[in-house]
Amino acid sequence: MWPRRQLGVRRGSALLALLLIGLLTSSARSQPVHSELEVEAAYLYRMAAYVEWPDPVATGRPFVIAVMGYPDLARELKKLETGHLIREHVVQILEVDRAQELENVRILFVGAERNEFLRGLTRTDPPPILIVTAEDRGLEYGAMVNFVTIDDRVRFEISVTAAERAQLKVSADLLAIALRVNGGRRQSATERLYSPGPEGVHRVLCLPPSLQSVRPTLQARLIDRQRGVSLP
Amino acid sequence: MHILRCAFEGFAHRQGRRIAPPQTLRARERPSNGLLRLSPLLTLLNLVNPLNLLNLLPLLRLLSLLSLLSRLSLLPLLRNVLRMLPWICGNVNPRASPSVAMNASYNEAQRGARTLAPIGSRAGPLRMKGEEGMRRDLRSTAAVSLRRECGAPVGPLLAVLASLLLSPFELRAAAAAADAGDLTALSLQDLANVEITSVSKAPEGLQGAPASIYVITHDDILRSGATRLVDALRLAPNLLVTQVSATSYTISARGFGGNPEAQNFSNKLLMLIDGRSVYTPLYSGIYSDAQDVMLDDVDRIEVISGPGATLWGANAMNGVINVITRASYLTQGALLDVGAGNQQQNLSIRYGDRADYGLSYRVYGSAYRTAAENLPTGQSAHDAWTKEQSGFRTDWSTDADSATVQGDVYRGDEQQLNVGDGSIAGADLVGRYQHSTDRTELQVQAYVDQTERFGPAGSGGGGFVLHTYDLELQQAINLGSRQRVVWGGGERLNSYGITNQVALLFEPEFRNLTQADAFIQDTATLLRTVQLTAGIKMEDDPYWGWTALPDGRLSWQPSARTTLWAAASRAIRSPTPFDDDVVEKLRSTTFLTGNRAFRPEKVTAYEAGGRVDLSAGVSSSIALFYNDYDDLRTIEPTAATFLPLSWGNLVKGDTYGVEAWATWQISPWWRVSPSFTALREQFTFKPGASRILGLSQVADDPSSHADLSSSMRLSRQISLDATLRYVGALPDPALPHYLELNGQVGWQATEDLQISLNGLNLLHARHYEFPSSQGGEAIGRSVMAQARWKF
Repeated sequence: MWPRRQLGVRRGSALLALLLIGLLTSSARSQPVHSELEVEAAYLYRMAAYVEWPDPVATGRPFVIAVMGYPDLARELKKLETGHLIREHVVQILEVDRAQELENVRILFVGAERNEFLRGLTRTDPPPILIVTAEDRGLEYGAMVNFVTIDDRVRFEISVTAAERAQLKVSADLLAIALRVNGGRRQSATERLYSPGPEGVHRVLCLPPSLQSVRPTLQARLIDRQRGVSLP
Repeated sequence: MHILRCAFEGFAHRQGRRIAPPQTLRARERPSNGLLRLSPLLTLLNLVNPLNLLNLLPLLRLLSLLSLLSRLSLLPLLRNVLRMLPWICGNVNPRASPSVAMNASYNEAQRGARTLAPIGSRAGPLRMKGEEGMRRDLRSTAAVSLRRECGAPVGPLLAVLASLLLSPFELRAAAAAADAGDLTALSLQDLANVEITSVSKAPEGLQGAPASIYVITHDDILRSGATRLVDALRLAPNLLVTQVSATSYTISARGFGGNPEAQNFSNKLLMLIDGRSVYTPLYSGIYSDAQDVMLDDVDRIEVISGPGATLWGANAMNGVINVITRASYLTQGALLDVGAGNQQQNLSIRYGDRADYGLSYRVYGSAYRTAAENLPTGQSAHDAWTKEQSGFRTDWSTDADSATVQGDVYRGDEQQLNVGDGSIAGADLVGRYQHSTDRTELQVQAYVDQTERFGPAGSGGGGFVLHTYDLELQQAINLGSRQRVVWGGGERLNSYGITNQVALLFEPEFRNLTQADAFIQDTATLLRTVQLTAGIKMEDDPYWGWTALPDGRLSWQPSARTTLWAAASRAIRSPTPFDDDVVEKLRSTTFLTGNRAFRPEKVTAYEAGGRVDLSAGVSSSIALFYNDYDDLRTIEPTAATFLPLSWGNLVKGDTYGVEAWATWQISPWWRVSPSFTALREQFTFKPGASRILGLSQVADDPSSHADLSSSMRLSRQISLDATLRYVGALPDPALPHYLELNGQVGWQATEDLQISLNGLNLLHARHYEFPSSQGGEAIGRSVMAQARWKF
């Protein structure tokens, strides 16, 4: 039998070994490279596809995303400005400070310090702008989309009430991904089951959200293979 | 004095037969003088039907099980069976497997394709290719070759193993795809799954708070290896958590951890779970075995050291613990959490979903078992215990309103040395409504809480049933941009029945104790960077009457990264049945009686502190305090006859100290957090005190305690967390200082499955946190494997 002391030493060295292994593997680590801002910026670009404005952007005009009181996000958005189209329009990122600058703006992100402005803007007759925030009570202040960071993921919640007041139509697909939806109505299970999928194919099986995260490449490949089309 | 130890905290554990909840309850003796009294309403509620919320337990148990099953049957079984199908069916030609798998995935694809490229361009999703296919091929090839080598019977098993082992590749490949491409190429569903670098930052709204606040986050809790709420509380540097036995803990802030031998319990700290007070009104203190939540539901725990009486009321004397759970829309999907180790086993399930019109819900069920700790003799203390708890929460919201209804039911069995099992049971139901307008926020909250505790059957009796009915209203009004007024009021009825024991009696056994309060607090922005908060609460205590609990705080925020603050406030620990009504007997002799003239214990606290973000990655907080106590409880003999003893309020004194903590994000993958707390206590007897138990009866606290935690993400899958804690020696009754280590090695096997190895108290096979003369047991090392599966 080992004397007690030696046992302690062994335990100590085992711990040390564990730490060493940890440190060694850490040299090969691949950390998540994305920041909250990057993901939020990507959302803003992607979301445009799921919202309908009362008047479409005129041909040849840019799709304008404005940021108020959050320069870091504006910088992040500008990185994506070139090389990206939203609904076949060139994207323009603006940093704004006053309500007069909001003409032609489609999406407006309002920073936490401008809550009072947001309340004022949405109190009566809100303009047809998709207003986005990222704070605890964003929807209360009048935003339509509010980013929520939870478990190291950026998710969002939606107020259909606010969107409808601003004459915006939010697609059911966006609502389906939202953490919560204030007002409005989500498709029922039956509706979802029988609503036509892409190419008019009825989705016979209604899969829960966790399966929807299957990577796009695979999905695309499979669909194409089913159709008999081979990928390049 | 030993008999005294059997007093209140222990009496429930002793012996006893079950009593029915009191049917008729005497009205309180003291004439009512409250202006805000709503008690007729509350009393009516109580008399009409002493609700037995415990009946909800089977229902909730069934609900959580059903919801889990419905979830289980639909998805993962399907997914896994489909994955394994080719290999499980021994006669299927392995080469045919891809098409089977593909057919199965087709529906997924149909569903997915719609979400991923609905209106906009389809170019994004198609851009990435290859990697998914590659890893699939890799896995299936491996499994197939395994099957070929090992033959059919072993095949399925090995296939499962292989798929488990290969799953990290799966994750890595997918992550690499996300890393390489630009994020706008991802579908919204995928964006929602992109992991972001979590930078430790002060929670919004608390950065400028003029108080010593530490926030334990959801992530901290999951990575601490804690399985119960009380273990998670160890993460707060401004709290001292001491494990006495398998069931019993003391929790204290800024001293007063209690001296059970002198019947002085840790009772100067208030704890709330989602706004519901879990501080027992019977003896004052927290039954940590009874109060628990599912840790995965907890959003954060705000620990405030120092008085918080103006907002939270009496008994928030040295601090307040606010446990805040996530709204149900943040806990959607199913979760299965299983853990097994030498000291603890637990199983938790949860299911949450959302419906139309801003409505969401979750139900959970958990069961928990803890092994016994050891007596100083080396034998088992026979205090193993089990507990089962279920609950639900539903939230409804529009933009301006939100409403929450939540509840829990629990039942537990606690073994006792040499006698049968004691039992605990309880339930609560909380309703909360919030409405906000441009200028105001209104909150109305009501709850019912039922707590039962009975000693083992067949040896003398002892136990209680307590119903608490609480109604609170609070409104915040913004007056212009520079003034914010919060006002409110509440009423609480504690209605209890106690089964007396031979040696420990309460006279009367039944009481309705009504407590009312009203408060107002104003926060004024004096200059751009200076804020003054002043408030007062008037509280009407059933034993003592009205007390004023004022509070003044000044904060200065010279920059967004710096806050300096100072505060002066007053709080009390209000008298309880244990102070006023208790009778303890030593055979036929009355040994101790309560004191009907017992005064509240009082503190006037002066604090100052600061929070600074030194540079990117380093943030620190420090608080200095000086507390002036008066009327602390003592034991005093009767003048001529010595016995019976009684309570007095004959000690005063002061304490001062410092709480400091810092967080250093050394690199994106490594965070180190040191913390340090020091405390000096000076007490003196007031004139007329008998001094029979000496000053050690007031408090027995370590002069310092410190933590050093390290939190590493070694790779995308592997995390390593460790917290080394030092707790200084207890002076009298004495206990040497100790050093212990808690830690966790976590492996994110897939996006949805996390496996971890948790260790508590790793450095010693057994150690003491509380003197054995006071009932402290030798606390054993606990090692536990745990799996959390979200699906």
